[in-house]
Amino acid sequence: MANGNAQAKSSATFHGPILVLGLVLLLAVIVKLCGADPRQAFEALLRGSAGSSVAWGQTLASMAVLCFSGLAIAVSFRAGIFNIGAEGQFVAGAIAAAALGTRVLPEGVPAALGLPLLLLAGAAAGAGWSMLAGAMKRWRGVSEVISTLMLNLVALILLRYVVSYPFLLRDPATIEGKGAPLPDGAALAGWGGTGFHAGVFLTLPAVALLWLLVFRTRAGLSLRAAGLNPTAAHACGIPVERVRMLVFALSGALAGLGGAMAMMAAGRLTKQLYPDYGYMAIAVALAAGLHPLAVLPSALLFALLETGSKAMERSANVPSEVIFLIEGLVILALLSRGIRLPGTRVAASAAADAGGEA
Amino acid sequence: MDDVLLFLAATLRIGSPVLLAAMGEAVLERSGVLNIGIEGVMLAGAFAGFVTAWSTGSPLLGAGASMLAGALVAAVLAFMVLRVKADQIVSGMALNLVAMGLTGSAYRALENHVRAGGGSTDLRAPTFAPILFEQTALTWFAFLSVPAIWFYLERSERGLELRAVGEHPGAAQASGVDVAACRFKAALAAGAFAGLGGAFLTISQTASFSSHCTNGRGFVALAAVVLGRYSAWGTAAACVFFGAAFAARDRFQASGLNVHPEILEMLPYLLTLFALVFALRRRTGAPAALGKPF
Repeated sequence: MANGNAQAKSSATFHGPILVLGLVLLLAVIVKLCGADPRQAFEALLRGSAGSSVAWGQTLASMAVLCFSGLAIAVSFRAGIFNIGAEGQFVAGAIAAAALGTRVLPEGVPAALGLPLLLLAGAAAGAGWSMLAGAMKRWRGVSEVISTLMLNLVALILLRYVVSYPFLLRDPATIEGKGAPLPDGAALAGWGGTGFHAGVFLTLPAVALLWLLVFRTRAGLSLRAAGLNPTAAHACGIPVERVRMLVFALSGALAGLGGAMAMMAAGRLTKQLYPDYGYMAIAVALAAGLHPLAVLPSALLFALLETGSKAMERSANVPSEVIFLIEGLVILALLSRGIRLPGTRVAASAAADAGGEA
Repeated sequence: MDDVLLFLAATLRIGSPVLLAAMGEAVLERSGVLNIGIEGVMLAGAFAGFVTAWSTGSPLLGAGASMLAGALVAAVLAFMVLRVKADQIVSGMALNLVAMGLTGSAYRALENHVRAGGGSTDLRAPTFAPILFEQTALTWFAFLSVPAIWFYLERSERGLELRAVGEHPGAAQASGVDVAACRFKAALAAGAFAGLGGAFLTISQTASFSSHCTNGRGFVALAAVVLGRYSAWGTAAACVFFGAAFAARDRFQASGLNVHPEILEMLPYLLTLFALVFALRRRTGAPAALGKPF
């Protein structure tokens, strides 16, 4: 546990340089194993993710999604809450925003009203979905790991459900699996034919606000204390239970906001809305050392890989599934390098001296 | 009457892969380790089982390979959890990603060979009675493993040690039980079971592989263990119930009845949540040291 204190420091712990080097090496080995030429593959990767304005648009849109879900994970892991439900909260946000945009708001809603309302609806739905798990933990002692996992699966089926039936959110004019199109005043149009949209700019204030909140406010101190040692935090008069509930709400709201934004950028709800990004966000948050400011470059790095891998598959014949392998290995490598999550140290010490504190 | 039997047969068939994975997971969780990576373990088993059965023409070899692959993936988790002392949940999620990427890209590389042709990949037990008992050998194995695991957990000395490790590793260690070794062995066994469960999908059921072929069944197994309160019989009952829910969905769909299949699909997860919140309260039967590093 000697290096466990690294986590408590407020300085940025972005493992960028090592990470990039490791990724390049790893990718080269895998590409070689696939029987492709590493140089050709890297060229395709860079061309596909950063070689044109269209590529950049796609990369930055992916980055925004990963950034919001990554912040959601970072803030809850910091507080010692293993909320692995970003995937479900993201979907809940997307569904709620789509319902509001296509069922409630009038066709001619002005953008100044439609955009913030939809984002707000997404954040609220994500927070609500997450607080279900929070409430189960607080009043029934249900582990958030199981509850958020179950809620993820329910949300994904719910998404498939609402886009399958016209009486719910499906667009009757299309084949199954697509929601009705949003009114113009509620959609985030891509700029100049690319996937880049105004919502991407929201990542900057989000990252900054989260950093301020976590490291420069009393609430953030309570949050970190609750994660590092809930027993001590409680003894210091911090309302640990309430802090945890707020963290559930905050992280759910962040993921839900990302979901609403992704849906608004797509212009409608679809069955395949950034699938598995909620799980990738765990890699993003860990690579950022759970630091809000570092989440942004970390998200960009993974977004580059993600969009680039599709191009790599097309032109260098390297399967795009490679990205999952790389993400998983990154997490394992970071865990092995002695990155300790606040919760694990607490669990260990609490089990040793108090017989366990849930 | 035939309809009922067909439904029961489908229940058992659909329930078996989940049951296999859940029985292993129940043992592992009783030793205090939560394997969120079970989905990845199943996927690895599904892949290894399919490729081996397809290339050798022997489903038996396929089943063996799937158990090896499952145990190997679980060994990585055990290493992370027991040696590195990394967080169990995050390690498990990482393993899911690794397995998804590894099997997905390996299958892409093999895909063209596989499409060219395949051997027989059917693993059937002798038929004793029509329909209900016309199940594959793996289904038989899955259901026969339930009493065996019950006996191991509740009636054997080794099982007692394992439960002690899950409830209070410190006390177990002090009384001379090697906690890490016990958990490592449990992880290997659980990995073999989950791998075999994965192979059931690719060998017995579909004779094909796809990168999402486990489709959340590992998570269903996790739910079954929770709903079954970590006991062998309870977990098996939960698996049969989940099998019935999925079988009912398929039958409703086939019969064109106006029941939305999505509702039935959600049922296992919703029921698990409801049970945790309302029925079990704090008497969940979860081992005291579950998920905690030692």
